[in-house]
Parts: sequence; structure tokens; C-alpha cells
Amino acid sequence: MKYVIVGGSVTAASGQAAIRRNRPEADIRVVADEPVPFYYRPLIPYLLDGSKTADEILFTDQPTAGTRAELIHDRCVRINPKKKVIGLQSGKELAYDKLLLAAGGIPIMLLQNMVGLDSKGVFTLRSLDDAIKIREYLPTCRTAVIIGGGLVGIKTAEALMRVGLAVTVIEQQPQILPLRADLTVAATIAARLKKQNINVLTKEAVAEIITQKGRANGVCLASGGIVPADLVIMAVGVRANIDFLLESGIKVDHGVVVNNRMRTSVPDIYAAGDLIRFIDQATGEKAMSGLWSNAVHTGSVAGCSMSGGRSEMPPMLSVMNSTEIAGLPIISAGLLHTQSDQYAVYTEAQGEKYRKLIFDQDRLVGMIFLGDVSRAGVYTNLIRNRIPLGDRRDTVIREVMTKIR
Amino acid sequence: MQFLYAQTDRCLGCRSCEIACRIEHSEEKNLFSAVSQIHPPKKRLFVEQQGDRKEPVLCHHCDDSPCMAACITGSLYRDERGVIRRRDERCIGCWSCIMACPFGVVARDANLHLAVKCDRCPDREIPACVASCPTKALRLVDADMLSEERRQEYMLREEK
Amino acid sequence: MERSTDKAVTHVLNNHKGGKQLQTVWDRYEAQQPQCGFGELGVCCRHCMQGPCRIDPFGEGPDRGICGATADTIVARGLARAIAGGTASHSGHALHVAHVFKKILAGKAPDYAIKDEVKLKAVAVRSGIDVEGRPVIDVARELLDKALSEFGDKGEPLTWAASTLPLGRIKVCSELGIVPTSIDGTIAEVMHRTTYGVDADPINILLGALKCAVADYTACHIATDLSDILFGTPQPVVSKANLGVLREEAVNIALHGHNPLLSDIIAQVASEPELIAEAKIAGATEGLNMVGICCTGNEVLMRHGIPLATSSISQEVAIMTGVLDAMVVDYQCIMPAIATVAECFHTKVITTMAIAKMPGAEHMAFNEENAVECARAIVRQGIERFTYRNPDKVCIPQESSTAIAGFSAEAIIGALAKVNADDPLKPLIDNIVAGNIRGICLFAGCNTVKVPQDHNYVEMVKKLLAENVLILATGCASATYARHGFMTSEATKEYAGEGLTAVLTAIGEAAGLGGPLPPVLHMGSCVDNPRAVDVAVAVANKLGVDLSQLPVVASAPEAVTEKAVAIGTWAVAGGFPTHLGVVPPVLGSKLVTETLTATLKDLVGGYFIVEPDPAKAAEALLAVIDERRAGLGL
Repeated sequence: MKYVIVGGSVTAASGQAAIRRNRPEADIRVVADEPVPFYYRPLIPYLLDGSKTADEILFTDQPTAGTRAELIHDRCVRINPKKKVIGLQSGKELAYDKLLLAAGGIPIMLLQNMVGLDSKGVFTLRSLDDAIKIREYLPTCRTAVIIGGGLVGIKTAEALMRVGLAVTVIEQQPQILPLRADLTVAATIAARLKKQNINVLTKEAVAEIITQKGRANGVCLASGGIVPADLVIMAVGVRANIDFLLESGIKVDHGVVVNNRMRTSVPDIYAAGDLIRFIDQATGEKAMSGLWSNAVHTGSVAGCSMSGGRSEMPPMLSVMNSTEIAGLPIISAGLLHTQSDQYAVYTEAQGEKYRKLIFDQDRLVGMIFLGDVSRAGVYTNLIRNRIPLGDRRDTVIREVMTKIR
Repeated sequence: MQFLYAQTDRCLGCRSCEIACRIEHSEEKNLFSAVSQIHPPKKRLFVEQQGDRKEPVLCHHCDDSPCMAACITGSLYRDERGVIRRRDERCIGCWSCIMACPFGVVARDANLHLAVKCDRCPDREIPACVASCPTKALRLVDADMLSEERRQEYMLREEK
Repeated sequence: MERSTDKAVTHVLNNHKGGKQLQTVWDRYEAQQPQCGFGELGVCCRHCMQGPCRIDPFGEGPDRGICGATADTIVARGLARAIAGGTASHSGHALHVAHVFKKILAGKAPDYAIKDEVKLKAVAVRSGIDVEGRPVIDVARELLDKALSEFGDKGEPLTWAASTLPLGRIKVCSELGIVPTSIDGTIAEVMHRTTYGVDADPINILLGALKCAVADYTACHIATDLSDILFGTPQPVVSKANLGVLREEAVNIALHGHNPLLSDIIAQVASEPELIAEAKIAGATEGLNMVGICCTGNEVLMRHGIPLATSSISQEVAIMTGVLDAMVVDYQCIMPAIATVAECFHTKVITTMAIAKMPGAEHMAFNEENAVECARAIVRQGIERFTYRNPDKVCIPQESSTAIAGFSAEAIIGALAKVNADDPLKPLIDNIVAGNIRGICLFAGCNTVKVPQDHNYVEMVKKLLAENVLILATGCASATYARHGFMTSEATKEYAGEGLTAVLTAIGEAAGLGGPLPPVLHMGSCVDNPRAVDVAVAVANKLGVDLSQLPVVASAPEAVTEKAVAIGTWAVAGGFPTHLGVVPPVLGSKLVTETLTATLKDLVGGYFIVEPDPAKAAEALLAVIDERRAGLGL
């Protein structure tokens, strides 16, 4: 039995580990296109200011270090389910009995035809390679613009601020962290960032990148202003890496459609991680996510299913994040923005600390903890597992709201 | 495989385990210096009360370990005893483990900027919380031993 | 951990024949581990039924009790109540003696008498009672009335405090409002102010506690004075100490507890030929052998030369020798465990006091009205039990040390008078000035299971003696030094520094001892601590300084009881830096800890030095002594 895994990140690693648990002697090929795969991707911003080195973000257990696993540096460009082979960029073909698609996501390049997009000093930040390139470019920079006020954008802004750059974050939405925070929390965090001399512009878009001798040296805002920038980082998000599936016949709907055992519409082909589409437990709607723990869990379920085990996709959320920004910890999960009367919203604030719970009847469907994140997991699990609380609902509210410390 | 077992009907809520935990994780491992540490040591288990029942809520070192699955740095790992531990140098204080733990037993040490959880006292044979429990509500048990014990309890109940 | 540094105790612990099930204080201590951290820090409160409340010493959980009391308030209240507990013990002890005194004067206690008229007159004069040309009985009545009035609502400063302390000290205490006007009233006041919803100001509570401690001093002083009047003021006596004093061929009866009221009578009847004959008939060829334990032991050692078997912490071990036929107890420091240990042997535990009974013991009510009869009946119980002795369970250790005891203040002044009859204090003061006596340290308090028995005492005293510090000892401290051979002339040669050896030799020779005075002077039981104060006050008055200026310190390196807390606190209020070798339950409050160890120095001159390490403690006390010497220009 030949197992082939496409991808070099955590989904691939946990899929591989699951196969290995069921079939210790399995023949596993891992096709990864990055020069150095298997590292903790969320730590990439920490490479920019040197607070982590490349070695320090590698997986502590390299998945292909075991027996009968082979790491192939190549890129999967097509799949032929009939012949059960995948085609590689190098021109080679690779046969499989079971295939796991774990190719993750690729960064979105905003406005593909934006002026200046191809000039020196314009980067995305998705891979270790990206980070190394930016770090090499840094000595020539004094100013930076981050396009996108999401989590990656903010973490990148903080790292660049630490190396002494004058940083501006530009976000189109009325608030930063639109997917992780509500307006209140976003405003608190923005205020903290500004205190650290990070310039935060919301409801602003970049119209073009200004260049001089082929090098970026500023951005022109849609509203007319100009922000100096020796370095421009595009951090507007990620989309599923599914272009190579076009001719495979695998059913795609924004992301790869899978059943609850992570199998695609095509026999013997499984998919997991950032490229799949699933049903969000909080909203009940189709969703995609780049969440680390979703990647770990779905990778594991896929690997298990492929190798004869029984395992089911756990309940998943598209929003469930934890981080610390400008010294403030924040954990949010589920539904964060509500207009509808269907939901009951409870908030409590104590200085910068803030807690918000959103209920749909007796079920918790959303939460934000800022400043004091203690016991957050108890509540993210109530959301994820759609636990009906009945008369315990008031107890939960009281617990959360009276124990801010 | 050993694990920490809390027999809740024996817990009096004295919080000795919490104190013992902090002492074990303090600089000098002694109460009097622990209370005078500038940054007091953190506890890794939590005595809570639900109705009449008092209970130490503690890390189960779960098989499916949501904390480890959520760790984005490689800090959390399972040691040879099956205990989920932290590599200090890897932890960046992102609190993903706090977000993931359904028992709420991972805590944030804001001073050290480290996630704090039960490490089952690697320097001790018997964890400090177990050793401190005056009513033996907290025990370090063998999985097999416990099920045997449960069976016997059940049989005795039947005989009555 | 090592249990005891006393070889006799260790021998019995290791070789006794009581069986494997037998548990001692050390086993029970182990079984209690680990002990509650909230209790150790003093941050739990059970003063009302809304509680118990506990403050989180790590600042994450509750920072106040249900009523709003903070850790500072709770710790201060707890300490104050401990002091009230200690004071109540000494009040009860003193009042008991006073009540017997009253019966004597009323002719209702024919077995007692006023034995020491000189002391009676001296105390009366000191207390402002006219003695010239008056019959002894009149003076005694007036003194007794005065003593009894100290316990009730006297309404003015207590006589036994005001007349025994230097003026400077009284001024300091008056300014702080810590001069008590009633012993029992002050105890009640502490209970009142620390009950639900009264005093919440930690400093105010601590001042109340200091006042209570001064009341404790008063009670102790009354107890000592009245006991001396009834049973005689101790004079140096040579005896022996440690478990080796138990004899296989004699009926061994241990007198354990604190009060001489019963034990002194038993000591008297034990020499009655009739009883000795009964013992011999029962098979004890060597007759009766009375031995002492704890402070009752000290009382009968000082006044009758009765050997001391062991100290309070090792009271069970005396039974475990298998040759103790009866253990007669009065009150205080008597472990309920002795009845259980006695079950493994033939020993009869006999309780005698209405307020101190014990499951498993036989209660033989002691009536002062027919004290001698009661005492004889008790001794006969011991003789009867002798016949049940199991030879297979005998385990008597060899160790016993010679001990010279009985250094009351009067005895010390008396010895000094042999050197200079006109001015007895002069030799003492001259030698302090000359540095032959670098300072004086009073060791007091108990033995604790928390350190190997006697370890702190012995390590500290070796160091201090080598540095020419004269040592006074009371209570279990004196018993410790007696057992370890520090109360002999030889000990002076072995341990004392050159200057101190010279002084002790000169006094000893002059007093006709044929050798130096012991380097550790046995001043009595724990209630007798005021004897040491009396000596210090005499020196202070002679020099025209306050107690807080003298190079005199105190130490309770193995303290256990509430009484020890009370005594330590009045030693501090008296101006003496006082070392504690066991951490008291106050560390949960930084404010209280700071007040006790630092702020009090500015207020009263005395303060607590908490140091579990005996070597460091001795260094700390030497530093204080030198600081005070420098203050006096020495």
C-alpha cells in the first residue's frame, strides 16, 4: 500500500502520524514544495525581528524521520484518479493507493494589477522562505506598510516595530482583526498598538504602491494620502490551494468537499486542513479556516481513515483564535458580530479587560475574552460542541462575567 | 500508565493541593519563601465547588490532548510518563492551549509569559498535590488498579 | 528526619518493646504532613459561622474574608487569641495557687503552710504592703487579697507589673496603652475585640495582644511568687536528668504537668517510710523513685532535688521504657496520646485536675483540703501497677547527666553576695562592663517535633557560651540543658569562653561549690520566666537604664505552645529582642510580620527575630548583644 501526502505542513504531519499509528510499516511519500517544510507556520512573524530563528520554529519531531517515509521536494500539479498517479512539477509521476491532499492555503495578492505590486520591497508573508527574504531586505528599510489588519498583519507589524521600523497597518474594514474581534476589542487593541507607535489606519485601502528605481518607497491611499514605506507586506488573507485539482474531478465548493471521515468525492483521495470546506458549528454555515488545531485534527482523522481506522471529523469552528497583542491576551471563538435579535449578547468590561458571550437560546455560540483569558477553553468547547445549557446558562454567564481578574 | 484521580466525595475543599502545587513550582520549594516571591508561583490545579461537591479540577493529560493540538510552537509535548509538558524555550505565550483546554486547567503566567499547566511534578515520585491531600481524595493511580478497585466497590454494593 | 538528639530518647524510640503499632508524637507529625499552608501562614479564620474563611496568600483568590477582614486583620486576630490562650493558662495556674493560699489562710488546707516567710515579706514590701511589726498571717492575707484583685476588675495598673518593672519600661507601656488593669479582664478583652465584627485594625489588635502579654507576665510572676511562699524559694540543688534516672528495682512514678500544688505534696509523701515499705513489699527492692517530666518536673527538681526524667516532647518515651508505673499529671503540655501509649504497657496514667481529664486515663480528683491523703493514694496506685510490670518490655537507657538546678533570682543574688556582700550586683555588672560576660541570653520555651529534639538549643548554646554569653534557662529549655549536661561545673570548663569561665569560677568558688557555676543557670519552670526578668530589672535599675538598653536577649528556639507565644511577646514588650526558632503563623500578613520583627523595635525596644537555623540565630543574637553594648558605650 502506497500512501502519498501532498503538503509539508502540520496537516500533512498529523496525517502521516495517524497512518503510522495504524500501519507502522506503511510506505509513505510526502510531497512538499517548500525548501524546508514542517515548521510552525504561525511563528513566521517572529523570524522577522530575530526573536526566533528558523531552527527554533522547526517541528520538534520531523514527520518523515521515521522508517519508510520519504520526503519528495516537488510540487503536485495535477491528479489522475483513474491511473491513481499524481503529476509533479518536475515532470515525474508518483503512483498512490491512498492520497491525502494537505496542500493548505496560498496568500491572496490583492488587486493583481495594482501598480507597483511587482516592485522590490513588496512581499507576502506565508512561508519560512518569505520571512527569510524579508529579513534580508530589512537593513535597507526604515518604514513599513502592512496591507491588512488581520492577525498575521498585526503580528508582523509588532515584529517590524521591534526592529525599529516606523510601521503603518492599513485595514479596509472599520476595525482591525475583523475576523477575531468585535469593535470594542479592536478599538482597545488598536489603542495599545498606537501606544507602541504602530500607526493603525482603518477604513482605508491602498490604491497603488509608489516606487523609485524599482523599489517600493510608499503607498498611495484610496483616500488620497501617502504613507512612506520601504517595505510593503501584503497580509490580506489566504485562500485554499486548490488550483491543481481542476481536472481531477474532485468536488470543490470554495474548498474541497469532504465527508465526515475526510474523504473527497473521489475514492481513495482524502483531504484535510486549510483547503477543505466544512460546516461551522457556531453558524451552521459552510466555512473554511486556517486554524492550526483544525489542521491537526482533520489531518489526523484523514490519516486514520486512510489507513483502516475509524475516526470522525470533530466539530469545527472557523473562528477560534488565541494570541497576545501589545501585551493583551485575546481569545475569541464562534460568532463575534451579531445584528440579529436571534442572539442574546452579554458583555462585561473592567478597564481594558473585556468579556463577551453570545447565546442562541441556551447555546453559547460566540465569545471574546480580552485581558483575562482564564478558563477560556471551557467555553470554546461549549461552542464547538453545541452544548445545550438549559438552566446552567445563567451560571455560565455569572461565572464568566464575575471572574474577570 | 498512571494518572491523577480525584475521589470527589473525599475532597473537603481545603486547597492544600493548590498550595502544595505552588510550592513545588516555586523557586525554593518552600512555603515561606514562595509567598514572598515577587512573582508568586502559579497553581496548576483548581479546587472548585459545584453545589455540595468540592473537587480539584486538574489536567487529565488527555489522549486526544486538545492543548497539544492547539500548540502552535512545539512547546507542549508528551513525556515518557505520558505527561503533557512544556518546553519553556518554545512557549511564546499565545495562550492557544488555554483556548483549547475544555477543563480550564491551563493558566497564564503573565510575568513569565508562559502557559502554566500540570507537569505532574517531574522532580517527585508522588506529585505534590497528591502528597498534600489530607483526606487522600487525590491519588496517583494505575489505570488497571483503579478499574479493579471500581469492580470491587461495585460487587460490595451488590452484596448489600 | 532525625527525631531527637537526646541519646536516651533515641535509644528508647529504637529499642522499646511496645510493639510496632505504637505511635509517638513523631509518627503523628509525619502522618500530619503536609500541614495546611493556610494555617501555617495564619490566614484562616474560624471566628464566626459564616466561615471558615481563608485568604489566598498568593494574591489570586479572595483577599478578604466574608466579613471583609483582610489577611492583616485575620493574622493579627489569630496571634492575639493565641496570646490570650497562653495568658489564660498562666492565669489559671496562678489563680489555682492563690486559691490554695486562700484555703491555707482559712485553715482549710492543713497539709500546706507558708514555707518562706522571707519571700512573703519581700513580695509584700515590693507590693507596697506594710510589714513592720505585723503578724505573718496578716501580711499574707493582705498580699493574697492584692494578688486576687489582679485577676478581677482592678481598675488600675496591675501591681505585679508596676512594682516589678523599671520606671522607664512602665512609661513606654503606658504611652502605648498596653498596661493591663486586670489579668482575666484583658484575656476577655482580647477575645471580645477579636470576635466577629469588633477590632479590624491590625495594629490596634497587636497592641491589645501586647497588653495581654503583659498580663501574662503578671500572672506568671504571681504564680512564681506565691509558689515560692508556699513551697520555698529554690536554692541550688544537685540532681540528675534524663531517662537513665528510672530504676528497674524501684516503683517509678512520674510527675508531669506544671503546677507544684500536687507534685510538691507527692514529693513530700514519697519519703514516708510506710509508703517506701509498701513498695518494697510489692517487690521494688529500691523502694520509691519519683521522677519529673516537663515543668512539674522542674518544680520538684528545684525544691526537692527530684531527678528529671525527660521533657514534654518526649513524655511518651518515659512510658516506653516499660518501667514507669504511674504517670501523674496536672495540666498543660500533657499529650492525650500518653493514655494510648500506656495501653501498650502497664503504666497507669492518672489525671488529677477537674479541668484536665483524658479518655483512657484514671481520674483521681485532687483535693487541696486533704492533699496528703490524695497524694498517698496516687503513690499507692503506682505501687500497685508495679506488680503488673512486664520484665520483657523493659528498656531503660543509660543516659543521665548531673544537673545543678534551683537558680532563683534570690539564689543568683545570694551567690553573687558571696563575692561582694555589700553590693551583690557589682561583680555581675563589672564583668558585663569588662566584657567577661558579653551578654545574657534567656532560653525558654518547649521542644518541638518540627526539629530534632534539642538540636536548636544545643547548637545555639555552644556558640553563645563560647562567645561568653551567660545563659539562663527555664521550662523545657532548662530541662534540655540539664539532660545534655550543661548544668555542671564541667560544662563551664568545656563550653564557656575564657572570660565567662573566669567569672563563673570566681562566683562558684566564693559560693563554696568547689568549682565554677554551671554556664547555664536553671531558673525554673516556664511559669518562672519572671525570675530572669527580676535579675535583669535589678541590673537595669542599678545602672539607671531601661531593660531595652541591656545586652540581654531571649530565645525560644523550639517553641510550641500558646504560652510560649505569650511569654515571647511579653519578653518583646519588656524590651528584649526575642528569637523564635519556629516560624509562627503570621507570615500571611506582611504588615503583622513587619510589625513584629521591625516596627516594635522602635515602639518597645524588643522585637522578634525569626530564624530556624540555630547557627544563624546565635549570630543574630550576638549581633544584637553587641549593638546594645555599643549603645551603652561598652
